Amino acid sequence: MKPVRFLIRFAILLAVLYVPLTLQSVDTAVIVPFSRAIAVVSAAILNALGQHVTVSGVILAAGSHAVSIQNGCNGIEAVVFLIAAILAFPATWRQRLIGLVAAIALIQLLNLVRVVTLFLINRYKPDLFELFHLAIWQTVIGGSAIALFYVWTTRVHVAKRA
Amino acid sequence: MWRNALRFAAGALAGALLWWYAAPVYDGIVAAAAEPVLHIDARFRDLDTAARDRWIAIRSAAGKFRYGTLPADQMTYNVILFIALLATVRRPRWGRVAIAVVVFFVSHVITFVVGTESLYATGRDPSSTEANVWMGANLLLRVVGMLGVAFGCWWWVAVADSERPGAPRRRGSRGRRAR
Repeated sequence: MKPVRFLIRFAILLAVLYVPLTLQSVDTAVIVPFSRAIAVVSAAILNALGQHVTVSGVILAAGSHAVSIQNGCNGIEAVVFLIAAILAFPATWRQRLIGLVAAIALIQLLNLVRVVTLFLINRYKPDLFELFHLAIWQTVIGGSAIALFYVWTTRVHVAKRA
Repeated sequence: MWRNALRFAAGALAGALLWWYAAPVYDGIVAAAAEPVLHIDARFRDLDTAARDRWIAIRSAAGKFRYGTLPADQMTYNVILFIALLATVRRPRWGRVAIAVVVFFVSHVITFVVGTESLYATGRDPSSTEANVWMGANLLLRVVGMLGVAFGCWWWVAVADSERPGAPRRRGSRGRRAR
């Protein structure tokens, strides 16, 4: 497949997959409950670390410190990216399914680490929060999603050669 | 693989420093480039922008619309990811890098234009179709678009060199390790 053709397919799929998620009804029915689930799991991890965190919707709070899990912080963007990239790339449906399940699971695990560490940074080093929130963690999540896709394409190529 | 990870980390560090120190100037350039595009919309004919620290201030010279601000930083941070990814490319084709940089800049201008339209459309009537369309476009660009543009530009530089990703490299370059 020509690289430019892949990029066009990828861009179209990215937009087509993401646009429904911007609708208010989808946000209420899918995204917010998903973010709430991330908040609950993150709170459980933080409480295991002795943080005494409470959850209210998508907000994690401990005393006067709180973080809110908004769009862009729930790993959905990386998941949509992975779906678009894996579907745009030539492979069998079985390879795509395996790649998606594995990559999405890893990205969501990494996202839990992001939420937990951002909460801790906000609590103990708030002056570093914006740097970690925007610069470091967005780069790590984006880079990881791209790396996972790249590793998957390698596996697909090896399987084709075998 | 570890060498690539190290190159990525070094690139991310360089990108973060560049983004942190150059963003106030760069954000102003993006806003200035977006002004003529926004002037096409009759409501923004007298729109004027100015960089304020890490934000862009938007105002109407004749007071036709209220003063507003946009967090320009949040529209350009994908520069860090792009530089980190670029650092993993061993022999980049600089012509393609130049094209990728132009695409990157244009994407930031478009994000700023859409961000401005979204800001004022939601201010006029948040439940209108217009506001929903601009908000959707704004979210698309600022959430997945940031990642998508960085990936697309890197792919163009790194992979669009006729080789399929994952394919063994050509003779003369570093081959994959034997298992």
